[in-house]
Amino acid sequence: MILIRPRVIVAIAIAITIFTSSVCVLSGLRSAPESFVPGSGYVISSSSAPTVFSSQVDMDLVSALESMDNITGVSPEIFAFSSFDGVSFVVRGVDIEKLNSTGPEFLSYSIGWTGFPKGVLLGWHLVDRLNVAGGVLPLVSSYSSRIEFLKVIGYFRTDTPLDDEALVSLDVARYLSGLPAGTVSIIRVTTSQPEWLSDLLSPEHARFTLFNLVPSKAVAAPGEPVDLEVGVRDWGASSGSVFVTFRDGTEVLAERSVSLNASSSSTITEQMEFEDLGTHTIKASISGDFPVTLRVNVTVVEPYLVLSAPSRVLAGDSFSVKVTTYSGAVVAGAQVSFDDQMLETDTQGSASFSAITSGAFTLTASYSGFVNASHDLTVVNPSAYPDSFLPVVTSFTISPQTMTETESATGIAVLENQGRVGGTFDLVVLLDSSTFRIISVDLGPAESKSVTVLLEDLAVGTHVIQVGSFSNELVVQSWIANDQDLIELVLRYGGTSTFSSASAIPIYQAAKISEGNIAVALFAMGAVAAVLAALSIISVFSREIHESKRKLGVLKTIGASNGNIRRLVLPQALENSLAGGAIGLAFGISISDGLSRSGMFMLFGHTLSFAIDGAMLVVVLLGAIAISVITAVVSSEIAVRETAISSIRRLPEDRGPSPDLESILKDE
Amino acid sequence: MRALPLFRFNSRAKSTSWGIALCTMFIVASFSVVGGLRTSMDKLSDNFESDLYLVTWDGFAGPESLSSLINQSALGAYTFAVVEPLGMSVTVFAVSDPNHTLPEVLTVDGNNVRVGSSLSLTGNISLHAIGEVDAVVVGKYSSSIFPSNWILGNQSLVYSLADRPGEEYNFAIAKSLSPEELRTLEWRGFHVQRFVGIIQFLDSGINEIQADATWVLVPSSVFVALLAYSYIGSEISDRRHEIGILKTIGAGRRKVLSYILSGAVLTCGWGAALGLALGIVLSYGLATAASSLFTSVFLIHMEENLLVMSYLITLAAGFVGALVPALRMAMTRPVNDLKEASQ
Repeated sequence: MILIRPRVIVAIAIAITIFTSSVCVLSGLRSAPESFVPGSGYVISSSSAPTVFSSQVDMDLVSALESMDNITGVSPEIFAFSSFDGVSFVVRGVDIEKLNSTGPEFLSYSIGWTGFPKGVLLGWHLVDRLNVAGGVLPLVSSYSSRIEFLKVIGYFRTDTPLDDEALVSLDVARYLSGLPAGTVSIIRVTTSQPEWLSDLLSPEHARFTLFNLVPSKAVAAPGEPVDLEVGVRDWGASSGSVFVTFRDGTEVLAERSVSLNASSSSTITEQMEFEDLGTHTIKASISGDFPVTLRVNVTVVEPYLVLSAPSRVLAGDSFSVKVTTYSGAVVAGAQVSFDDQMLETDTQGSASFSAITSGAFTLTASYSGFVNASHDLTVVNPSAYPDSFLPVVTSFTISPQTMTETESATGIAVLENQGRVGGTFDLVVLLDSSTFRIISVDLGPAESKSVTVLLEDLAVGTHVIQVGSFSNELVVQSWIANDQDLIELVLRYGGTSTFSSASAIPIYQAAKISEGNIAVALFAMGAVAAVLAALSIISVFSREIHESKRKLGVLKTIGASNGNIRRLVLPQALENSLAGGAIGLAFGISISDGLSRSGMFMLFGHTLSFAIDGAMLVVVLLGAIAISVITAVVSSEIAVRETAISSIRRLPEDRGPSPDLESILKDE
Repeated sequence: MRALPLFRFNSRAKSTSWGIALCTMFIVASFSVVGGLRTSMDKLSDNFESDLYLVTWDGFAGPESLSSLINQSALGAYTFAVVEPLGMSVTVFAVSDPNHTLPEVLTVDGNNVRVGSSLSLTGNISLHAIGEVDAVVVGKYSSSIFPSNWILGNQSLVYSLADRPGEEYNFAIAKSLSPEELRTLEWRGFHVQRFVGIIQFLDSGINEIQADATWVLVPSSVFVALLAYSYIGSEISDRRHEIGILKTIGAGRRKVLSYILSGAVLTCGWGAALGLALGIVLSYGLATAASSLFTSVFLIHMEENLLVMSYLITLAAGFVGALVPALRMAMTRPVNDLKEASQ
């Protein structure tokens, strides 16, 4: 017995079609962030920026990433936002070569990249939306009053959301966006190990690093207190604590526990004393899944004096000497002897002598509690030197010859004036054949001087330092040499950046709405769509059952139980609803696909794509089945509720008073 | 038209009204979300105020074509050129600003030019575009509007480079345009871009979302129509006997049709009113829940005209849905109605 006619399939199909397309449109809105990440890459954005629009990432991170084995592509990009004739679009600053390393692949473009730094390339969807006359696109800055006119130098097609954008050079985008030099909005990366990079850049748990290990004194006397300072930073996303251990060789000198909040830093200071003479290599280290060790040298010496004096003076001239301690403190009252003269240093640690006779002499300085200092001095006859200024570099040494990048080395050049006329000499220090320092040195007649050059802030690698005709090599190591690229990346950028998949790019926060809000709103709308579809189908079933109530009444009269009615109605309802659901699903997906291709749905300058992937298909399929089954069950219950008498007599259940026909006739 | 008293507000009418109310609620909530987005975006846009506009048009135009702009704008001319023999591509521009629209004074005489701060050109240079001009770099210009890699010349120099007869412009920077003036300019074919592009970008983005949201009307309307179709179909089936009597005693088809449709409209009207109330409550509930669940503030904003539109669309959809069974009933012969109903 047919109680539900197959014509209901049409209504069910319509309801499911609309439900399916609604869910697809909602999912398109949900996946809108992916528009900003064309291709298959991941995104590094500033962790402190609430949205991708305000993100600023250090451009140097690009080179740090490029040096790593696991990274297959790196593309720094800058977002500017503009509109023309009411059409809003994203202006994306790119480095074309780097963009090619991450994709998406350019399926076609109309002309080559000639003139790209001054021009603009339009995605082929944008070409349809913009009417750019004369091949020039006027642009206004995103956040300030700036303008730029760019030649449209070509069109491209990638079949990704990039086709809705305008591509310009990084410089032009930086000008339009107002981003500071050396920064970009995002860095898109492709990597063979995304989990590894994510954990490296933005670990969920607390992760620590050490930086700037500095002793208060590089040279100390036995028992003299030395303060060791080291910075500790938590670049993870959680707070935590770590033990910092200070060691002298294998001996543990001190251990300190440091607790830090996420993305915060602290400096700890540990005071220590050394008794053994010699150089002590002090290590500050943390252990764990990302161990870090910093080293610094402290030299322990017997306290000694340092006597500074010229090594050569002309007979008849006077000269000054200066006495300091091993740590550079001036010594007042030190006894200094030269020839037959004996003087005491003043409060500045200085004393002045006269060179009377030619010859070789030894200056000596003494002070209670310090090892004496001596200095060789030659007093020369002026007539042996030409009457001119003749400066010559006589030696150049570097100490140490190997250092870590946070340390500095000292170069000492000895300058000698081989004439008896004084003057000023510009000492040029070359680093890898480029001028590193120019130091002006005043040289008296026949005077020789040592000039100290501080070599610091040098890049990792081997450098050649050249002074006069002397050259020396200086090797600069990463201060942790076990994995220098990794360490550089982590120390400089760990915790400052967020590593996201394409779908996790924050964009809705531009309206102060979190991704969670949007998810809740979209889910609610999807749920309401499902409820409405179910209600519509139930109402159609209800009508069918209502029209078959006479048959139901007969069945009940002849003894059919509620179970019998259910067994009769449910299969018919299920059959029709599933059939209608299947048709509706197919239509819904087709309509969604058509809408997606039509480009009718836009969001923030991008065409919304209703990609119906496996997960989406499962959701929609389950939704359609659930609606079909629920409506079928509800329909069978409606059938059961029909009473036998009312069904046979076709009496409404709550008919109420008789119609007022007379009043209606009066209307006629 | 008056309601057919044959139709009572029975349980079927109530459940139909609730279904229709859900549909209307769906529409209201969707528009509320978009309205909230609009409000939030407007607040964000307030941070980027500027009263300047870039106005461009196709090619060059003389003062007679720019009469609507002359009194409140700085008129400018630019052309792309190459600095030879360096082969450097530059933009050469000149501005006439008698109204002091620009925040800075940008003038230079004769064949002298000033270069932007990022250009390191000095002395004599040769500029090549359609025409060629030998110019002398006499210094640098500073501007908050024009890029630092452009070259500022006077208008004659730009006309010579662009091979224009003179007294023509290809862009303007206008100040404090009223909405009416904006519309007029756009109507006349000018391209008007408000300075600080993010304002227009966000505005345009919200317009896109609004356009997307109007698609909510499609499923809601269809569901309302289906509900009305089923409801009226069932009601007619129940009341066929009475309708047959009405026809027999002289009620015309139009009259019967109007009775049935008025019943549908009344039910839909009640459901739509309920839906409006539910939609407003749901929107605020959603906003409150979302704001407490997450750290951000989700503003809800409902425009009165959208509420009216939601109501009217619900009524219209219900009317259309009821039309099919109503027409079918109106077309049947009274004798058939009475015969069918008595079986």
